[in-house]
Amino acid sequence: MASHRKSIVWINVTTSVAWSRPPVGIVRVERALAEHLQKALGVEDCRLCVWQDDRFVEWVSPPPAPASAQLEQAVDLVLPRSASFDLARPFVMRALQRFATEATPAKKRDQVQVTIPTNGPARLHPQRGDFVISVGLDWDNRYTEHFHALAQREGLRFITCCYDLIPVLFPQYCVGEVAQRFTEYFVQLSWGSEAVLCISEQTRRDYTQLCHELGAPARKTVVIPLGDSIPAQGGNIGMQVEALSRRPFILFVSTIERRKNHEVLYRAYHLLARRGLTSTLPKLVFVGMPGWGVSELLKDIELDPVTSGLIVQLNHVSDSELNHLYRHAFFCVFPSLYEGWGLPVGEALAMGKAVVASAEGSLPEVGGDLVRYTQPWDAYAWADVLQDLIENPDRVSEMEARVRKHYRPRQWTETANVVAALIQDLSSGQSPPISLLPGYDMSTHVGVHVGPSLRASGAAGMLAFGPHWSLSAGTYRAQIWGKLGDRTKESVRFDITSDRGLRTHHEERVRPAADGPDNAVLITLRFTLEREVTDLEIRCEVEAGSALQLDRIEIDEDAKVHLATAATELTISAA
Amino acid sequence: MKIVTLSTYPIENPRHGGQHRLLNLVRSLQASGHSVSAVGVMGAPHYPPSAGFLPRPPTTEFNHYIPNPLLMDDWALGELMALDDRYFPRLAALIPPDTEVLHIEQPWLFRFARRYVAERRTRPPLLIYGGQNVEHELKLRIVTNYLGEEHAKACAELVLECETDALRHADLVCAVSQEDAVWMQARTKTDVVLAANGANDRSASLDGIRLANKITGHRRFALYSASAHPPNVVGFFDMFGRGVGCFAPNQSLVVAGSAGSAIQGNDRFPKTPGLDRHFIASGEVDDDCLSALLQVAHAIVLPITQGGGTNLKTAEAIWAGHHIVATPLAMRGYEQFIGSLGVSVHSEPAEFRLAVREAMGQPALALTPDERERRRVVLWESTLMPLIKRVNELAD
Repeated sequence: MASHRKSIVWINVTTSVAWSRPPVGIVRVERALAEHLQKALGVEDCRLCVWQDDRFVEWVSPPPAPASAQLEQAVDLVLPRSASFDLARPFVMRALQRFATEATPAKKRDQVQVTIPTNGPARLHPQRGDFVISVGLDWDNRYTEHFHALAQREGLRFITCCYDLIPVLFPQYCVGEVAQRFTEYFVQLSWGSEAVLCISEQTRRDYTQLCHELGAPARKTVVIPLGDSIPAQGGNIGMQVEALSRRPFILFVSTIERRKNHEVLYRAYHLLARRGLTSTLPKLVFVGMPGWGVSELLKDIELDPVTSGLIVQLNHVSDSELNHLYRHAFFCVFPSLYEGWGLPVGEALAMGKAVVASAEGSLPEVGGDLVRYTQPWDAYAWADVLQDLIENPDRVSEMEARVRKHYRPRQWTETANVVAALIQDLSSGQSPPISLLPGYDMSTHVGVHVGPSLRASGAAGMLAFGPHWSLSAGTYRAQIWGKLGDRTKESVRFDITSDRGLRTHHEERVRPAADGPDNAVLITLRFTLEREVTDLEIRCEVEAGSALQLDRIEIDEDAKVHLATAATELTISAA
Repeated sequence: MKIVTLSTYPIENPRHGGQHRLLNLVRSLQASGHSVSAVGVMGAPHYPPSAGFLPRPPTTEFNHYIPNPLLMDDWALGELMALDDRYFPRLAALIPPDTEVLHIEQPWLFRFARRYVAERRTRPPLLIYGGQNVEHELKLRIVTNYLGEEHAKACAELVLECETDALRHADLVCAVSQEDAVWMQARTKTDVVLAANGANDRSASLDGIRLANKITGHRRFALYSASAHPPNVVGFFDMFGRGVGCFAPNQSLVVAGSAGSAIQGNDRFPKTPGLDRHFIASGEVDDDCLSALLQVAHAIVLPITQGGGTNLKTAEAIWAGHHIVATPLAMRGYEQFIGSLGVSVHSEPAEFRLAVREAMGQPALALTPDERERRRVVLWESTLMPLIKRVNELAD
């Protein structure tokens, strides 16, 4: 439904604000999209919001409080200075400050209460017709299950993101029985979203296929390019990283989990060592936290005398150290069994490195013909490829030259531009009116819900009230469909109210003339809201003996908005 | 004519389709001037006592005829009644001696009826076999689902022999679908008359609607009305087992009848994504509440993938005038309504679910008076008419 006010684009940054662990790709996406979309659309038209108390409210970063160097260092320990933590650092800083003042030894307190700050009573929040873009860890947040209701009741227009369907397609690589939970999540996403951003064509195909299988609505999808997050350089480089990079090494950047397939690299290295190449093998460096289901693999690596000392695992690598490792790597590998995108391949290419990867999932979309692809299940094939590149460094150089010549790093501005274009596209169509079905959406004291309709039972009182939905300021027309039987002797009263029924915006009585046809427009009400209301009600009061059935109500912007008065036009069907 | 129906279930307060069919047959025959009474033996322990019906014998009695009577108790019950000299006379005593026609619904008691005719000293009654399915095919599918194909084949052989015997010795055969009628006609020398299943012209009270609303939570819902008959459960999971993404978060799938608890108790229920969010089992409801559920439903689903005959729930759905999403099997006997306003038929589960979503997203179906009139043929008064006419001819 068209509205008088200009739509605002909101970016849900709940994930970033609450994030306090090492950054993951999704946090980077949320943060980068927020930053670049605000640049593209302007901070007035593109705002940040968080989920709080079962609603979205504007997120305003708390003003930087003067902090001691000691406190800064403490925050640095929790959240390194990185763009990924721009939103969360001030929050943690406040928590630590409060802890410092409240948890004195005398008070013996071991916890403090810090709430997400908002900008007070006048805070803004998404209104009918606004877009809400949500690209965070939405499956871990309860707000996703509210999207459909918020879209229906408050008219919010959700644009969400599908990163991959790995928990559904490959639940064996995930913790616990996630397939069912994520299947339900994607269904919720589809029902609640107007459009879904997919991070690759592969993900788009997977998502569309899943929707088809489940019968869920496949929403409009667009593929967004993820920026190649080339890690920052210039920070301190630790001794271990420094020492490693003095000799050639092969780099694999990824959380250590079964799907990423570190195992095939270990087996390939085992085979190469058995071929007698131990002395010529560069170190194989795994950069990433160990995840679920790899303890036996890590134990094998630890105990295997054949590969002893050849495979190195690095945790807690800073962005600058990662940059350093990329720059000094002999080449990079990525044997994953499936990916929704494959950011490390893009990062490596953006750094001009040669890459050997599997061709599973979306990886060919990232690497195109610049990557050497190898079967992820075939340890012998990996051993052969690694041996070939190790023994022929000129081939690595050739690959690097091709990468430097042809690879065009993806920029976050492109991501923002695609999303902005999508919003423009969605905004261009005429929005449908708000449609209410009294039988489902409204309450009654003296009627009976009969499917979508509300039917008077013959008793006097409130036949219909509700639905307590929100509506922005403006002038509107409410058309009410139904049937007023000629048994009805007394008039029927309609009014439009808000503020728990205390504020009446319009009131009108209707007197029946004759038995009308089924499902005809019974009455048209015009009303003006001076400000946004969050509990709009349309009420219908009947006298005893009324034979009234309400079938449908549509509210849209009044085409006669330029008329000076908000007069009521009565159109009784049989009159 | 004096007519007695023989069945393994009573007809008072009907719950499942077979009961509805027989009750309506009795009423239609009575309306046509015949004197009709229902007699039989309870085939299941949950039926309430009813005049003219023997209580269900203990299951141990069935072991004389089949080592494992699971899912074969209907057949074994028939054998017991026909062959056991303790039970035969008790059932025979319930049949008035001046009975002129015995209508045996389903083949189970037909062997009993043959013995009854053979042993009766006065003029023997004519035998009508009322076949609701090609029973041995249905038995094969049901038993295969639970006990494996090898065991199922042996069971199906016994049932085939039973129904072939009925077809061979009946004076008149009644089928519920054209497909069944063709199969039966090839195995009998007598006429096979087609009398499809039908629906009642229901109307719900305001209290019934209030109760239905309480069950459904005032939500838009699709209705599946079914008994716990195993094919009803199998069909449900065939169509919805992959997930119920076809339902919006504020929509429900309401199962009326004993199928609800059978579905909830099935291993696949907790593994079906989203099902527990949308599933409402009303349980077995009284006729007024069922009428109300049929009235306020937005759509009716008929996920039938097994079984022969015709599904009287299909007739009910057609008459209810809502959106219908059905399998081709569910539409057997009502093929003329495929393609009718609001009727969507799919055998592929994904297509079925898509059709459910589309139906649930449409405005409520509004039939024109002409369309309503065209659907009148699904009412019992129309569907049973061919059989009633033939019985009247027998009387002449």
